[in-house]
Amino acid sequence: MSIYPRKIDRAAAERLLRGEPADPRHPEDFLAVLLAAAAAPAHAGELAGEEAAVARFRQARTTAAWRAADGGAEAIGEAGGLPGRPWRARPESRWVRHPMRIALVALTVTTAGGAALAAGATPWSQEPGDRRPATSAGSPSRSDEASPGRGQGGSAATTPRSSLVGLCRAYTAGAGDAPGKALDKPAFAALIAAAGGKHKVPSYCAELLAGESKGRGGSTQSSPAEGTPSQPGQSGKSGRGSPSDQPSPSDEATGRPSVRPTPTAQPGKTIPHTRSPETRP
Amino acid sequence: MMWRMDSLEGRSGTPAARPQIVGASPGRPEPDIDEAIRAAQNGDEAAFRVLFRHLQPRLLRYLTGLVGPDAEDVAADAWLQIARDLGTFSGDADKLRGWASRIARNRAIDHMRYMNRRPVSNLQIDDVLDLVSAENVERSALDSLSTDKAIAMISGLPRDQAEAVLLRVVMGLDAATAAQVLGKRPGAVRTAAYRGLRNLAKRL
Repeated sequence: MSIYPRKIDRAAAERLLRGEPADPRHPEDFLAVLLAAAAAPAHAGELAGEEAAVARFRQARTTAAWRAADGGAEAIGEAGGLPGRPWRARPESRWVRHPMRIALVALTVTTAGGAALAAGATPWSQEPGDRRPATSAGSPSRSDEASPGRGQGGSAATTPRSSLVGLCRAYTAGAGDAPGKALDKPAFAALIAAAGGKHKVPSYCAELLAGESKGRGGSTQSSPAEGTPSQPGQSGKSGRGSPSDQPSPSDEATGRPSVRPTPTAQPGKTIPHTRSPETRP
Repeated sequence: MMWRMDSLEGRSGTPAARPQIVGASPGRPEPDIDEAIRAAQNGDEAAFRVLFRHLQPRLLRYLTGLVGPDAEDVAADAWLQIARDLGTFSGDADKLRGWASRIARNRAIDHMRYMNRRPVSNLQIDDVLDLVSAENVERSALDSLSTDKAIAMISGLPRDQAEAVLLRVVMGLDAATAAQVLGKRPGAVRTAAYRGLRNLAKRL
């Protein structure tokens, strides 16, 4: 039965935290039972959100490539304004190190062009550091339907022409905002290649989109004002939203300390990680 | 490809004489999860489901310690981000749990700011504690100790202790990874977890 109030030393506590009895001679140790119950197998109710999460995954598959290509895929460390160093030290390098991945990104990006546009997104609407859910929260069903590659390895099903149309729409819609910079996004590499050079993109797209709207009877042009993730304050806001994702000066001034659960944390401190990056698979 | 599901999956309601530990195994290789991470990053939906079933029960229990009954809402927010950023994640099963913990924690903090209140009313937890104490820690009571009660009891600890215990035991993180999630030194997290265990022992 319970071996407490015997004092728990650090070694015993460490055993308990690993899921073992504090003392092998007392397997009925109450704390061990309590912790085992806390870590017990899932009950059905706990997996209720699976389909919703999978739906998000489907829709994120298309935009994820955008983010990766945009260099927007940095660590989560700063999300929510928490102190601490970024979770991963070298977020982009992994993509660079795998040529196959780059090829995949390029393929997926061309696919995602159409999908993101159909969802009312423009590829440059996300700042590199933007952690907001972007298009995903706004229009799950629309972008889901628009996702061309739903099956495994979806990017293989890409039809280059429609992807280029998507990229062109993206480019055309955003050229007004930042004419010079828009094409600097890696996402447009495929478009630039197809057009035969950066300077040829405008005319190439004009031609392509003209042909496209004729073919379809037009009116599919997406408007960047529709569900724009680029407007701060409303972007990516799901039903309840996440306040700290929005620029909110008062948050900085007042909100934090009272709810911050780790007041002793030191932002600048480097925390050694248990395993070196080299041990990654 | 057929995925072997995590041990957390498919056991719902099994009246085990002694609940099986599923959380605490940092450092142990989990090839299934590692493989599922890679496959999900390439768009494999079945692999993503494996990850969901691996993570979600843990996240829900951890979040219950942070935001109480709002855990499901916050977990849904967290999955929005997990699904979106999974492609950029790099690491194995251990790292994935740490990464997901951090995302969930950030969403929980957002939630608390949004709600403009402190986490988890202790009223509910005190009720549970009374209930469990009244059973005088009988053997039968222990065996039937539900996950919910156990989580509620841990959640009744001071916040830093509760989080340390939950991250170690439920999320299955080692001290260093838990420390990274919390933005603290590993020593501080170890101490918080030990204190948490001592407090739990004292309360019962």
